[in-house]
Amino acid sequence: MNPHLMVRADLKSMRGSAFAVIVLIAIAVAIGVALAAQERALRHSSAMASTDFDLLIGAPGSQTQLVMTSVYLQTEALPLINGSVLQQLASDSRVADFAPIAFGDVVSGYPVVGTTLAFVSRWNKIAAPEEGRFFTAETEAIIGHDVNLTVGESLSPSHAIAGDFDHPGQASKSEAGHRHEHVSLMIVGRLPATGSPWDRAILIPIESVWKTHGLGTGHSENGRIGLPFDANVPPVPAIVVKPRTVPDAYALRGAYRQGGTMAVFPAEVLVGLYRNLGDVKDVLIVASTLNTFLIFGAVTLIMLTLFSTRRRRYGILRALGATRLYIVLVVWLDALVLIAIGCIVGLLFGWGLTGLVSAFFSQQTGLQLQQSLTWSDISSVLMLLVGGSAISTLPALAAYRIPISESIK
Amino acid sequence: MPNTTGPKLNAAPHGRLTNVCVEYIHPNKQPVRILDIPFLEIPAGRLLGLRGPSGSGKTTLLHLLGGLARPTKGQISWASSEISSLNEATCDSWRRTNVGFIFQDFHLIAELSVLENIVLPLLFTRLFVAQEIKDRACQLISSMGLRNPHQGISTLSRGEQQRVAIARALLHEPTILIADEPTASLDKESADGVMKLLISHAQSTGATLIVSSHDSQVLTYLNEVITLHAGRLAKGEQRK
Repeated sequence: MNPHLMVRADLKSMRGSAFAVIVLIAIAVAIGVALAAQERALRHSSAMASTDFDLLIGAPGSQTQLVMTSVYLQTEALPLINGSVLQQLASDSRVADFAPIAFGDVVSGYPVVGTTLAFVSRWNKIAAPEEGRFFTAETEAIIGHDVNLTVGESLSPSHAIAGDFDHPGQASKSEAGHRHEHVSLMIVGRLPATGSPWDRAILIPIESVWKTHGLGTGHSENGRIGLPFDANVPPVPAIVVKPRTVPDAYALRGAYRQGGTMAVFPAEVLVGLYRNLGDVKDVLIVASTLNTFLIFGAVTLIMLTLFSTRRRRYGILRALGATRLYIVLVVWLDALVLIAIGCIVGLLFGWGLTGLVSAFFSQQTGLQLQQSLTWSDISSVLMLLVGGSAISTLPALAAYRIPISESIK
Repeated sequence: MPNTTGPKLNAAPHGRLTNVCVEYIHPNKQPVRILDIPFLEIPAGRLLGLRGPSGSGKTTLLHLLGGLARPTKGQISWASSEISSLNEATCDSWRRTNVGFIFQDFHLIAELSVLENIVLPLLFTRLFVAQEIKDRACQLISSMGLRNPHQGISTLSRGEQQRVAIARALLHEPTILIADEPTASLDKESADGVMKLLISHAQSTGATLIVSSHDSQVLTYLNEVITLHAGRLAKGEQRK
């Protein structure tokens, strides 16, 4: 038997209802796919962004805030730690490298971050900038990949105001009023993309940040930048530490969790955040699953209603010699085709929705979310399809018992 | 022994109804008899008309004769096939092979073309329709005075639609043709055309033709007419 002609005719005759069924299913599938893909992208990309931040040292306070500010540049006013910590780290044999990080200034909405060349080059993983060169003087800056400024341009940072929400690339109204007019920095290079919010940062020597804020330069010798610092080192909000070994990392974390400092593994903080994210995701997945059940219930009712309006049509087919199996197959395929189209459209729509949300998130945070479609996404859609095919048997079974004579009178 | 399978009959069969009655259960739970035919013979190749007022049981009788419904009691046989005792699948097969139905409202599939409507019943049991059968369907379409086999049903007049329904009923060369009020929704000219087509086909193939109609003009085309009143055969049959 070949139900193709009848399935085609049925779908054509119920265009409006078919469209509604497809849209309902597509929405259910899209929400599920988008939720899973978005959470996965966020988890993966946020973990990638923290790769070079093995250990963070800051003043006692919120571990999460220290990580969010240092790794994701969600700048908040962090309490400062004494500059002497930098001296201690310099002489600590467990430390392979370290770099102070200082925030607080902005240029055209881009955060200005003071650090050392070691961290700018991500512990020497970046051999050369994408354009220009690394900074070599207090008055030079290197920009992240996505900063919409040009090499050779001069800039004067402004003091960021707590509570102001900076839009990268757009100077806020308060920037002009809080500009450090006496400071002029020359952009000398552009870094390659890292996919992290640091791509939207303007990196300058830490000495420049200290000097701008009247804290000296950390060096007795004028114009010098980078390690080692002298005895009177100004305070900093955070220090990134690269331990020599894993045991060293744990030892350093223990050592700097006392004496006026706090040490955290960003990865550990992220695991806690992921746990919370996972809890939220679980709630959303339960909501999404309920939503899917409701939608499939509605679709089943629509299909049963559609079938009841077509009893006469199928009765005629029976009168013309169609077997019960043929009618069951046509009704089942009618529903299955709609559900399959809904699933495919939903998968594409969910993928597109993830892209849109990712783009919005990246726009807001600078964190490039790496969107991916995995077998679990496809298998969950296939499971919906299998569930849908089971649901499709309800109108099909109803079709099995059509009394021919009654239905065509 | 009656044949319990549904093979293709080689020639128009002889039909016989014996002690057939159809009852339904009224909401007051009492059985109501809507058809009661002690005996009726339909000779092979007969052009039989069926008349009677609405509710007299014409359609019920046609459905019984075509294997669409089963009697509450009694036997219905065509040649050696007692269709009232066939199981559902065998009865489907018998009907598909031996009977061509034409309905008052044509019951075409509006979303399919003329040709697709005509070959559709063949796809109930086949994966594909052979080109030679499609060619035969096109010849049939042409012989019905229809020009374009790929034309949409909704673009046809009602007379043309009934001709497509007739072509659909004739494609598998049935030995029994059953038409339930085939001209009721047609104008006189179209009705004459449809009846001429049916008579012509039945006579050329030797098929038995059974037509129910309210229209006495239509019944004049037939060589025998029986009348039903309240589910019973009226006395005195009109024979042409």
